[in-house]
Amino acid sequence: MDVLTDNFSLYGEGFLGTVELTVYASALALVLGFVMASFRVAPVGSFRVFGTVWVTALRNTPLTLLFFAVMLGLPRFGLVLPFEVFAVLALGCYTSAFICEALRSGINTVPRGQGEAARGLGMSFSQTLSTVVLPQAFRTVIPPIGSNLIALAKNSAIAGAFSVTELLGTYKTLSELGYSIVWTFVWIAVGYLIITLGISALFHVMEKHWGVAR
Amino acid sequence: MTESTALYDIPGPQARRRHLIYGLASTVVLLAPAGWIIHLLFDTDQFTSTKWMPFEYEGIQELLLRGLGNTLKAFAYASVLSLALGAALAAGRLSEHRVLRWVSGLVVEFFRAMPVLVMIFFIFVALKVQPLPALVAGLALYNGSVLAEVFRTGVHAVARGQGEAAYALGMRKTQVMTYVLVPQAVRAMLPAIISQLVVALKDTSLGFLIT
Repeated sequence: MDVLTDNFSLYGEGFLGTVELTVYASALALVLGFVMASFRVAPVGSFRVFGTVWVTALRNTPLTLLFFAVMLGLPRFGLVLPFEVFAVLALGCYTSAFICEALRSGINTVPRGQGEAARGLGMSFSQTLSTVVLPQAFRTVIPPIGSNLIALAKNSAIAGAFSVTELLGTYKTLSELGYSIVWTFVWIAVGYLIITLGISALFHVMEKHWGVAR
Repeated sequence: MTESTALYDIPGPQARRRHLIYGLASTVVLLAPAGWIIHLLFDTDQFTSTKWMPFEYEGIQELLLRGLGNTLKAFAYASVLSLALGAALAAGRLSEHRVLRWVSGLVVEFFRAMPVLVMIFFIFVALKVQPLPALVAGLALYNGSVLAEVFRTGVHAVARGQGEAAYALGMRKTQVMTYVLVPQAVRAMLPAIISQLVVALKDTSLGFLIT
């Protein structure tokens, strides 16, 4: 118990770091995933190819490797940003591939007649997608997107190894200060549980609100 | 592209011409950053032969191959252990004894909610084991818990009549499970199981962080 009360500010800093990483990377992943999903169903071939390459490349790269590529590769090109921004970039791009696939499978669950009717009304591709198909697809993909964002929150632990302030990184300072390792990790675990259970509760509420009744 | 044709008409001659223009324009826009990156790579001398020379040394080749071997070794241990753990935890969650159900449910939920890296670090730092066993144990705990849920949903997805028919034939619980439900569940869940094993393979790269 002492571990938490003595180092509350340290834990709080780490906790907030993880929350911040998760929020920013989620926003990036959702935007990029949405763009890539619309690329993958677009009528223009080059967009489809780009979306497919993006998803295949990112989904099949270990996140650790991606972190290395971003943190060590980009500065070589003169692109020097804070580590936090690099971490958000790596996490967001990685997760965007999964969000894109979730959205795309959601698009496939919308009955064909919906798209056909929209086209019958004279809507263009972007109108069909944004006003008819995606709003319906969104309702079915709430649970998979939720689990992807939970995975993102958990993956943010990797950023700790690249000197970003986050929850797992607090263990180094605490074990140097000589606190019990087991209790240090218990409170880290509690922190992650709060975040992951929070996200899952949020998506549960969203699903109740907008989800498709089955 | 049959599944997405509902989103747009099959293009006529005019639309095809328009799409060609869009296609060319977007190709230029999308390839421009790629070309710029390649230009930068040339600019920073990444393609000069001296930078690629090291890969000719036998020592470095051996190092890379040994790394590949270790990745495969960690993956082999982790996948076998996580499949076994997943089967055990799924059996626990499907058990008729409430205590067993609760305990395995708790274990599954806890390890699914924890980042793998936290577990690997905990095993490595607190229990003071070698890096490889720490990595394998962390991966096995996490992926085992996820696989337990996959197995469980698979067993639940088997048509009810299958289990009932097996009981009617006089089979016992274990027999119903092993002869009737599990073979069908595994077949239905094979894609999910394989993609989880791919996750385990990718996560072996976390081992780098604890060495």
